[in-house]
Amino acid sequence: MTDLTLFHLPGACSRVTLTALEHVGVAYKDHVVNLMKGEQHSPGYLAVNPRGKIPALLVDGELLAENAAILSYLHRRWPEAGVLPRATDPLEEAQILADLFWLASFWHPTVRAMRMPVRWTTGDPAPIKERGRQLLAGPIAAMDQRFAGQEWWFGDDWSICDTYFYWVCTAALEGGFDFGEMPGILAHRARVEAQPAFRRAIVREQSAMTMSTADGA
Amino acid sequence: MAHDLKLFHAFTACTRVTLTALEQAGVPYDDHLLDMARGEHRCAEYLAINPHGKVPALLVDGRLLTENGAILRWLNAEYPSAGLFPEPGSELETARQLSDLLWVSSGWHPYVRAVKVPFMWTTGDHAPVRERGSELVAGVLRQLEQRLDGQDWWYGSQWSIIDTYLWWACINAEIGGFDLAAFAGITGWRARNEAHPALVRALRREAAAQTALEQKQT
Repeated sequence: MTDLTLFHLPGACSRVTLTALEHVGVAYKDHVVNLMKGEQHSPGYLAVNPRGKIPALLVDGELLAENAAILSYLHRRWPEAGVLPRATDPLEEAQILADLFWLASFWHPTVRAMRMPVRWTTGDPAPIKERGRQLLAGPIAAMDQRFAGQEWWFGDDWSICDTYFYWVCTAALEGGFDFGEMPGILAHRARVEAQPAFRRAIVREQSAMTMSTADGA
Repeated sequence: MAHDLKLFHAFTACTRVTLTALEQAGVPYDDHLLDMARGEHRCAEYLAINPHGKVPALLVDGRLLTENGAILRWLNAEYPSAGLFPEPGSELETARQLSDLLWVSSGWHPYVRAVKVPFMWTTGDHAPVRERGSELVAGVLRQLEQRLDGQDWWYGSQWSIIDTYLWWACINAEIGGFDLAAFAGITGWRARNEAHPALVRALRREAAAQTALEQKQT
């Protein structure tokens, strides 16, 4: 049996990691890192993950950082769970990996410009937010088209890319992006919210937050 | 297995890393250097190949593979003797190599963009974006310096493609005006990277493609 501990923050992109763990159905411990209190820079957390970021997964005490790497690991370790589609050849496996890279390296830093523009400037956040909106407009419209024709990221079946993309859109929404005219994306959001592992992840986040607040009291 | 490979790349872009990986693998490949200045990456012909309109894009027997990190992992799996990554001892170690790639592609790369092409992150003044980018780059550079303390390469005694990817990020920050001299611990590593034969060949291949493009324009 593998001993797993996830370091996360409710609402952060670690929500995607939690969903993957819930989907796999394996037992794991979790620990909230309160970014608002700067806990990611505390000596205690830096001893876990020297990069001071979440999510971080301890696998039998060994660190695995970066969300997409954790998702890929969970898929390879428990392939029957269907965190990602089953690839028919190595190139298809790489194409699926490319989608994870795209989510982590394009979508995530770009929605950061909308939701947390101060992360990209020492000055006025407004032009960063506006640039983020510009960068997202085309790709979001393309995803809206995709979800007009298919239910999930890869077609007929849910995968963790759906939850990751949902999280990206949530961040864009919180940053003020308007999805009003995007029925494909809105329908996709409803499907992701109804997915059982996602619902369990939200419950787990809520209880983690309650315990974390109790700890701090 | 022999594949028909064609790389779409751009001058000084992170495709230098992909080119280096192909050179390290030692397999024949075609390449096409996109004329980014004239917006070739946004023209219909290229969008038909790669709808994301980005580089790198690798055609493998006519099938599209995007995202640098995914291309590097595929090349590593397909040509294991090239040693793009060390042989992993476990599934977790494989995931940690992937984690390192993601750290560069989702951290370093967007940070360097803020330094080198700050207008990519703002519709307003460039200076505060470049300043913030410099803070972010300095943060990851310190982590790189720490790692290289006492070892020649990212994974120890052997070169890996991560070194080339990090090297590319460092020199692009420098092109953007970031002073690498303050990070004395990476000086030797940088020189080792620039002497690595596959990178030398990749830069030669890129220069030849750039010269051909310029000749076509005149």
